[in-house]
Amino acid sequence: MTPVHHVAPEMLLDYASGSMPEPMALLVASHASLCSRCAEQICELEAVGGELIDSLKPEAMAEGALNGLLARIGKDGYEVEPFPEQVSPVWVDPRVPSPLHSYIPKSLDNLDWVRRAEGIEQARLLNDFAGFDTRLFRLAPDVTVPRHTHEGEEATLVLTGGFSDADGHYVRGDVAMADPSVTHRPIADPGEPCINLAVTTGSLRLPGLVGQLIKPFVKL
Amino acid sequence: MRGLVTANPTLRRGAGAPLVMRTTAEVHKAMVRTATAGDGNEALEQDDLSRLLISVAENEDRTAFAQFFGHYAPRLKAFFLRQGASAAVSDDLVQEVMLTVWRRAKTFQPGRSTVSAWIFTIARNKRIDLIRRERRPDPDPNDPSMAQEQPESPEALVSTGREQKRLSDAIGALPDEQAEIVRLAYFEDLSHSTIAERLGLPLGTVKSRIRLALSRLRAGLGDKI
Repeated sequence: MTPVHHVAPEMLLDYASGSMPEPMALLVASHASLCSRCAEQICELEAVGGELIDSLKPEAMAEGALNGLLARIGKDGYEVEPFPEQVSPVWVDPRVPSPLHSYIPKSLDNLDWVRRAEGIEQARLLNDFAGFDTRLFRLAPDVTVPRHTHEGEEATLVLTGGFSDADGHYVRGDVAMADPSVTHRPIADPGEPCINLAVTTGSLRLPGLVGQLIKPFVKL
Repeated sequence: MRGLVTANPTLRRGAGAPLVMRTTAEVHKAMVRTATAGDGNEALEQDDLSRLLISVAENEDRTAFAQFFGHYAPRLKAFFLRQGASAAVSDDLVQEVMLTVWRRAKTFQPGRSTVSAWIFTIARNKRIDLIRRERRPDPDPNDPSMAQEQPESPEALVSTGREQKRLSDAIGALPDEQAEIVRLAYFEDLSHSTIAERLGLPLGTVKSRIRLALSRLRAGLGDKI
């Protein structure tokens, strides 16, 4: 099934041109693994990059650069490699898109989920990457995430189940975007838990007195 | 667009060179005129470059590799210089890209990607790896959850060169205000929000220019989606 909610065109450009930081690039690559439309657009943008390289005025290489290379290739680990085989990972979880695989130590069910509120659990990824919060959330069926807003941008990719907010209904492969202008109160679908990958720049804010009071418990 | 896509060098699968127009020996002969590799004057066509790469993959052809280097090394150096790297760092990055070209030549699949798109992804990923010290998550077109793609049709393979010409024309035809943003994104390695700051433009303006530019490029390609 093709996702309905995609990453924005400017995000595809940032991703394809290479300027996007790793946490958000992880989300875009994971979405593109579930969305042939965005995968194709990324390839088109890579073709644009290739055209732009071809259009550049050549700059002379340093003296001896080619000879230095010719002396290295073909030996000492610089052989022409066989076509890469599919590597068998230590764990397999068909719910996890390939790019995300190497960022998660164990299958989703065995992750060290930390409870944040009733029916809301999280597991942090890419812990050392400054300026971003990269997390998997697991929402129990029918759970309502407390109303919140964002200091920066938040992108959420659904992996299992689904959720709804005022802007729409999101299922596997869909990406929901939120920024400081968005205050929302997502509600998980009934049925299976909703597991999603959320990448945030800046932390979430819970507005209003009630938000302030419950913040210690539901700070996401 | 199917013919131009899937440039990721680590992920492509399938059969090798389906297009044989000139043999590698003929390409070699055609390039006798360009004896001094590395000065960037030997502008080769994508078909020629594709054949050189296949010869590297299949025969570990060092002559073909030298000719490929002669075309791309000076352009890659220009690319890294434009991104702000020093001449010495640019030379090093080009060496790293070219080592990867040699080692991963078998991952190039003509018909599924152009040589230039393939080499762009290697150059981009080297910069992310060696300058930013980050990993690069790439989508997997063979992800089991991805809808099964149709295999390449012969028409799609033959059309790659034509699509590339159309793409190049479409880039050239972008209005200045859109072309400027595209250049900043690829050459200066700037994200769209940094571009907005750099140009003193509202974020929304930059986003809408990017959307317009991308839809023009897609229209120029004769969007098949």
